[in-house]
Amino acid sequence: MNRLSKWAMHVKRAGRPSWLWAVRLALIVAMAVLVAGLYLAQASQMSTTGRQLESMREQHDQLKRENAELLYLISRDANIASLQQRSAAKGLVPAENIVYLAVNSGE
Amino acid sequence: MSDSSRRRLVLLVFMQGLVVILVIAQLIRLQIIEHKRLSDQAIQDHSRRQVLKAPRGQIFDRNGDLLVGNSTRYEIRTDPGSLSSVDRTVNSLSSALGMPLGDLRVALGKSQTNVLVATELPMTVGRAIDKLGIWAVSATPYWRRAYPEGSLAAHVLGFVTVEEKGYYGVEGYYEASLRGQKEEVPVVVDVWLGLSPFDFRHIPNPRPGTDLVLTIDRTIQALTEGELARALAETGAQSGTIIVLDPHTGDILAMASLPAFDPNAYPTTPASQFVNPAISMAYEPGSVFKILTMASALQSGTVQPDSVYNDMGCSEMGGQVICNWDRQGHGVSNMVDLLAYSSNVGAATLSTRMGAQTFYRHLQAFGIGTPSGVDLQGEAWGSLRVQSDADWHESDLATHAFGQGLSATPLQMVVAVAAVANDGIMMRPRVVAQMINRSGDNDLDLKHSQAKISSGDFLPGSVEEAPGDQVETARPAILGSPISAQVAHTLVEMLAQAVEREVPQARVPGYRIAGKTGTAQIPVPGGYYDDPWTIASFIGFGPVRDPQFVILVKLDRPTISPYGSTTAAPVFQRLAARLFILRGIAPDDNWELASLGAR
Repeated sequence: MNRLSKWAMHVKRAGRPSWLWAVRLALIVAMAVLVAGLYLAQASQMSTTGRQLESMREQHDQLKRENAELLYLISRDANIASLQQRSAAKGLVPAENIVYLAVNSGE
Repeated sequence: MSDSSRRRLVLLVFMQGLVVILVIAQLIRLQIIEHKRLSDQAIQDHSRRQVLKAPRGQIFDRNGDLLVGNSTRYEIRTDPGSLSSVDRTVNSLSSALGMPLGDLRVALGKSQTNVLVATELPMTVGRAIDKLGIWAVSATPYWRRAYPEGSLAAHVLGFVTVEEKGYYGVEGYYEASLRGQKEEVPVVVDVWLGLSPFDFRHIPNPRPGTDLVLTIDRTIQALTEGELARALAETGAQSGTIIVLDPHTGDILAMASLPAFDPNAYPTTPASQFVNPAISMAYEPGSVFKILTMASALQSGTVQPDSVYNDMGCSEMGGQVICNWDRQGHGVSNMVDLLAYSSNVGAATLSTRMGAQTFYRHLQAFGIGTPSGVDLQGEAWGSLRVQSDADWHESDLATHAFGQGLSATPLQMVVAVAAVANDGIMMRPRVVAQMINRSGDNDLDLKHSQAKISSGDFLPGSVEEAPGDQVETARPAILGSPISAQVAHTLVEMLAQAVEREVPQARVPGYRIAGKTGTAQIPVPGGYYDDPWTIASFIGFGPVRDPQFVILVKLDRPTISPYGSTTAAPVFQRLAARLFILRGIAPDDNWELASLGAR
């Protein structure tokens, strides 16, 4: 009888109840599953957060670009040359012959 | 257990042991022996260097109106070898870009990688192509400098090249501050070349360039450019310059030179037009320089306003015959007569009486021959020979007195005369009043913020700050006090009387104006003058009771008349009249009362 067979016989003779082994094995498996689950949950959470952050960064960049673009476009449409054109079209002319009224302050 | 079963069991254990040994050996090879090589390769395969550029700082005028902004453009690149279907890509891009199918086929038919398909695309088009999500076609945004006012204040602003480097004007002078931060960060990418979701330890947010708030008022600038354009058309002058400066602060309210250029189209502009004549091109100022000669003579005690000299029309001084512009003698004349008649003989008499040492010391105190220190790129020094220079001649003492044989930039002249208008205190000219360092997340909208810069003073906190912003407000700086307040007041009165007597073209109804005309010959190489051409100018300020601005009008080579009184002075008059109204400056008291009494 080789050493392996002897070891198997020894385990049999030990007479420990088989359900105890099953419980231990189940606990180990459950622990492993729990750890794996936690890892997966954490990794998933990180992945989601990372994508959200990246998405927000892109959105932030786009909004900054849109903001700068809008400021430029508004300024271009309201530049002095176009204001002069539009005011001239409405018949407005430079102010002349301004009359200043002296107000007695009572002093 | 039979022997055969035992042998099989042993064999099984042996095989399993072998597998375990192989796995361990492989792990040792991968994790220890070849760790570095494999690690480097993995990093190489999954990492990219991403360059993120923050926008350049924006530039506003003193009222918060945008003068220089940033626009977004897109460039489209592709890797033709990686396209799944060239035909489908060509069709998609053609409709989005509005490009002919043939051109796109040529671009996409190339065997190169990273082929540029289109550039300078507006934001809407770039975004639309990006949304198409075509494999191996990238739409990349980039910043492009944009000048919403076109050519307005172009010489003050300068321009930015496609390499994003600023030249000339504010863009050149403040290049280091305006330039946005460029951040190159290593990023881990996934198989779709997107940023790996696991690598968000560093979210890059490069700092944008510093925003600048100028002392320039775009409305005054536009008025000034309009009057200058009209002056060139009416006088036939080839070019011209007008500067409007606040004498109390040194704030440059407007600085216009024609011909100008559009910074948006700088590549098609001749390089010579980029130079700002107001600060970079020194000229012989001519008779406007007599203001400084008279100031020096009064300050040194050489003369009083009622001091007299005998004006013979021509006189020999320093071995050279000096004549008045009209060769007319005015007999016994006082100092106001000298200014009113713009007598060269009189001015030369003053400098000769002062002596070279006193005269040049005062001119140097006025900043002649040295840069004013304005915050614009490319300021010239001008030139002033003094008695200690080897090439100085005795006759220079006479000719310098009426602005010949020396040179100054238009800005130097304005700054020096502004000292007369500001109780003898000479302010450093400036273009930038505030610098706003943004934290990176705050887009300050000056136009719609409650606080505006309305007065001449830029006080700390006059612009609304966003959290994290740092606003640096530049205080007006004093360059020196070349003359006393008493001398300044005396000279202002003399200049006002001179205008009232001899330059009606510069007078503005309701306001006392002080000023001086100038008609200068144009020196050419060889020591001659470019006859019959002149530089006609007028420098003045008002209202005399409390000068709000100094204006220099300089017209180069006018054809209708060579004289400043008939060409430049009317331009001053029109511009000053508009500025009095625009800035709400009430007429002088005596005029106002008389006007009301007449009703």
